[in-house]
Amino acid sequence: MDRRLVREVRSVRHLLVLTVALGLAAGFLIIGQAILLARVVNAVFLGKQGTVAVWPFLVALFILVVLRGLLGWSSEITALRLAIRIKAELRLRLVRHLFRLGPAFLRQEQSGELVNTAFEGVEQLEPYLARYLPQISLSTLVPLAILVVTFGRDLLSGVIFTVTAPIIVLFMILIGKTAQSVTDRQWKTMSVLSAHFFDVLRGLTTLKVFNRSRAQVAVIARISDDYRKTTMGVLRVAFLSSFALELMATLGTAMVAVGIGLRLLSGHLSFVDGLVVLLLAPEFYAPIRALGAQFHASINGVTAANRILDILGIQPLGLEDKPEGEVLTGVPLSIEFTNVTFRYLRSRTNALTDASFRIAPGETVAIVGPSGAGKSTVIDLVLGFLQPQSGRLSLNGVAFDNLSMSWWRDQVAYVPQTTHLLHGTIADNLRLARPTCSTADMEAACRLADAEAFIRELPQGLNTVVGEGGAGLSGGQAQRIAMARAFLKNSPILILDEPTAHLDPESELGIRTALELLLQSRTALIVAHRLPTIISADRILVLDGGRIVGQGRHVDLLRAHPLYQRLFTAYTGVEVAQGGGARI
Amino acid sequence: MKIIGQLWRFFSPFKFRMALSVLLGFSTIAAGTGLMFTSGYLIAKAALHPSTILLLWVPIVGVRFFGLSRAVFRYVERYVSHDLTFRMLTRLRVWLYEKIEPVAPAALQNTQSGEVLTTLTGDVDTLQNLYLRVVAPPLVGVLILALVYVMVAHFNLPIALVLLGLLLFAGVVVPFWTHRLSQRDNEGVIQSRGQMYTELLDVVEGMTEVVSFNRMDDAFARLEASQAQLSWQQIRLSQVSGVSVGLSAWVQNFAALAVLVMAIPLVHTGHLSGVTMTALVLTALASFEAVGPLPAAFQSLGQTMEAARRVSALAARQAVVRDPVWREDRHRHVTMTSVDGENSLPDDTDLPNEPGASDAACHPMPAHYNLLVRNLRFRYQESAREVVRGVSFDLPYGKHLAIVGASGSGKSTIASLLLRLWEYEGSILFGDGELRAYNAEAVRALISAVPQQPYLFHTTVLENLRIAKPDATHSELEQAIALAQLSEMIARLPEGYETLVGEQGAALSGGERQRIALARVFLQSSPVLILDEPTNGLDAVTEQKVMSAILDAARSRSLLLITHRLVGLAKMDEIVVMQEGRIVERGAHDVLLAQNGIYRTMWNIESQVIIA
Repeated sequence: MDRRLVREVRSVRHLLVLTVALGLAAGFLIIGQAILLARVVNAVFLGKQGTVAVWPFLVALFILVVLRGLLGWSSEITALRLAIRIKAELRLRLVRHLFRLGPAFLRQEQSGELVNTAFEGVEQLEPYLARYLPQISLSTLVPLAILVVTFGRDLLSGVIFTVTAPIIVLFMILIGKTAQSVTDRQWKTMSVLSAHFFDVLRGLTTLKVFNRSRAQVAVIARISDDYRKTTMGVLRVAFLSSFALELMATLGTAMVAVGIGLRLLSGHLSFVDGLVVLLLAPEFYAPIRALGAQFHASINGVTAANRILDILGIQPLGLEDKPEGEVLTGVPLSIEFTNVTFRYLRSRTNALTDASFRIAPGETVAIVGPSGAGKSTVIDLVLGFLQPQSGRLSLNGVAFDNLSMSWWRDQVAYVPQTTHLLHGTIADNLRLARPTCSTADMEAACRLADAEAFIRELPQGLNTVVGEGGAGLSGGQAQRIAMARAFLKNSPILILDEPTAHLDPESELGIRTALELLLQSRTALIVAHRLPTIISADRILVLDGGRIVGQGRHVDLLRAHPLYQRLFTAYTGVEVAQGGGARI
Repeated sequence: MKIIGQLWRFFSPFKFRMALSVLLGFSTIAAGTGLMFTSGYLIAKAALHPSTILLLWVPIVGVRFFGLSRAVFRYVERYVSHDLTFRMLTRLRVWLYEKIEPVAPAALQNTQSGEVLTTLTGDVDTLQNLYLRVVAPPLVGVLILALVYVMVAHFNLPIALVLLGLLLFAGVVVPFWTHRLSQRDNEGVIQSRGQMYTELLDVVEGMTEVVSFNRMDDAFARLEASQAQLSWQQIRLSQVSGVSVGLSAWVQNFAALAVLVMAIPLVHTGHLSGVTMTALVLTALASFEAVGPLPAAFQSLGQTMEAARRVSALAARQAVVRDPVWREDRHRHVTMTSVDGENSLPDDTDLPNEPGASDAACHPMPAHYNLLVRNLRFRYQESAREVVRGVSFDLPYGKHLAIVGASGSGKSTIASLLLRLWEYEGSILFGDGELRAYNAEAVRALISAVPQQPYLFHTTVLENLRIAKPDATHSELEQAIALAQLSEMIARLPEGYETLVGEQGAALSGGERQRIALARVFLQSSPVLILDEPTNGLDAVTEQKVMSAILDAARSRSLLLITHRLVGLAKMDEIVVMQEGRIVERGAHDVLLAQNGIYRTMWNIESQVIIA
């Protein structure tokens, strides 16, 4: 994980190097400060000197102190800048990758989780990037520098440092590892617990309806308390790691102090050297201990980083845009499926098996079938959101892989089952279809899509803000805006997923009329749910279990196709009369 | 101040533990400071080559004691403070739940639903760290400052004052000042973050539109701009953080220097021993450990108070639906008094004021189960428009009534009003008594309901069913499951009844969730059933089976069926059609079809949909 993320850091490596360099410089200042302090104390204490005699040292010390402040400031802002740069880069890279993965991938994931990863997950990387990452180098370099100085002055203290430091690191690794899994488990139960609490709050209405809400007080208290008891049992062990760390660091300092004291007594060591080493003792352990603390602070970030890197590692399911891809101009377009088979990554069965059909220019083809039959897979394939494992999709004989996808998407107007309006005005949403269109164009399209009346009633008409936090439009209204977009785009091919949700009678009628207008002189592929759409289709594909089990016109299918008949009767509850006519 | 008082209520039962924890925190840092003091004293003393090692005995013991004890103090301190945090968390949750339970769903749902709960999640998380992050560090800091002051003043007062001043500068002035500085930038960051989040959400949820219209570049450019803005704001904020870190590093080392500069003349003139000077310089350096966590505590303080304010505002809400207070007056007549906050408490202390105590005794129950709704009105907020505008209908015991209409016509609201989840205007007579004169729980015991969006808890299928009837036997469960057409699903689930349904029932399909909610109702034998879209998300074949099971179960009960699907309505005694909060058509299925009105139009549309 570390290495993968460090690779991400490559572009801002100079900032990382700078942060470490500044930290190391601060380490040298610590050493310099210790030596100067010790000298002054020595001169005053044993040399009986006054302020005047040590004045130059004091000035030098003051400069060092100011420099330490400046270094603290600059390494902090460099480290944060490093984190900010990487966060920005990683987030944009992630979103760009999500675009590559496309709508078909998004449909399999929880969009809320993806947004959270791209937003909060990336932000959580900060402690890892700004603190832990530079600290990895610093926790070796600074103690090493102090060790060199110490060995030069007092061999025995140097030995104590050399022996205790690896023990600390060993403890960190040994206990840290077990503590890590313990902490992980603890956090998991912790979130389960907090999830339980919010589960209860979310379901409060249901609990109330069943008169069970008051009984939950005792349950919450009991579960929380049980949890505390088990967790404290776990923490008793988990805290041992920091106990060991703390103990080695203070004990190391104490041993150094006592050792220096005894050797001063016997005259084997000078006071200056002793004081320098004593002043440096806490500084020797500080960076190593900091590494442990930073590691704990960045655990969330590490989890987030793993998820981000996983997403970045996923290969796109669909066709990627090829700018040099083929473009077919001035010819009527016909789409052809030849033995197309598709299976989702984690699925055990095919979503579509061996599908072959052709949509001729100007033809309206309706797809019907029970849910899970593979209807949306067909649409995703045509839109290039997916590409088949075997078989071939072609346009006028040119394989889809060789087409310029951006050109192809310009030829297709797609109206999904539920329309997401982007945050912005209605006009912004309409311009998505044609950025250059005039207000008159938009009004005309809205008229055709029967969206004119309700838009006129909105406070700011076309300039009303919709979407996230804007005016809420009903499903039927959003659908009519999607239709208006299709009129604006005016592309030769229409792909449409009919809404199944119940719309109010008014929307229903408007959408019906708009659809009939749209279908005129266009090639269309429609996932159809409504009788009039199906009846007026030139051809109906009946899908079941990922296979095309029937093709033909409504009347013929109703007469001869058992599944089609069953679908028809089950839903309407209307008996199919002999000869195909339906009494309603 | 009021909020601090409220927060104190969480601490007050734990005064002893808190004092212990603060004391341990103090001891930890004191041991660290003591270690450096005694170490300095020891080596300085040794440098004077005393005639016998016995003179060094005390400092050596001190060094060893502090060297060992610090880690022990730290360990016990962490243990005690975490235990305290968990105890407080339990208390916080129970308190919050007890406050929210009576005001739900009104308090949780009248703003954009969900948002209240999401904020609450974050707020409880913030508050659970209240002690560790906000309360403990300043208390420990004050104690350490006092200790350092007393210790140093023992040798020299001016040095003690200067050191105290510098400690206060690092612990109070720097955090306060940088906090003020960052506030302005913080707002900018919060705003940019909000913008970034909205854009991300928009792009991800609208990906189909963006990609199919070939507008990836535009969308990406917008995101890039938002990100640039956010990064710029964050860089500004990082300057403040840099200043804080730099100043802290400077003050700590400057303090050692200041102590030294002040001590030199005193040593030179013999007013202070060189040994003490050495020890004081080391003490000065070590004592700054106490002020280290204070900037973070300062930052958390604002967030914590904000969270506490929101939570306490939520908890302070008055219940919209309040049970009548019944009390026996001096003439032994049961009367109902109006409920109004604090005033509702009985004046006479000898009267039972525990709700549970008087409930069973004097609260009336409906004499029969006829429901008469007259001129029913409702709005969610005073400023909002009415969603139910004068609706009247009868549901005599044993009859079946359907309310149909497009979404937003107010039909689901009527179910909430009948279940006493919200307060109504107009009249609902239940067995001759006004509905609000009964205890809400008594009403709900007589009315079983499938709400429009039934909620499944993240537990087993079994537990989810038992909510309706905790003492249900296995055969009762089996029967309810069979009626709800779920036997096949139970057989298919890996652990049958013991299978976890996932968060909000995510492991099940929409139709399965709906049927579990229905099975809950089948477990109960209450005289009135309210079913809101019970067949939502079911395929046509299952829908028909479920509908006939419903009609079967409702044979000798009242049934209020709220739906937009017209299938099976022919069997209902009466159908009312709602539009914008009013009843616009009513009658039996055949009558309504013959009328050629809205019902007929809805029927025609529905007949055209052949495959959902």
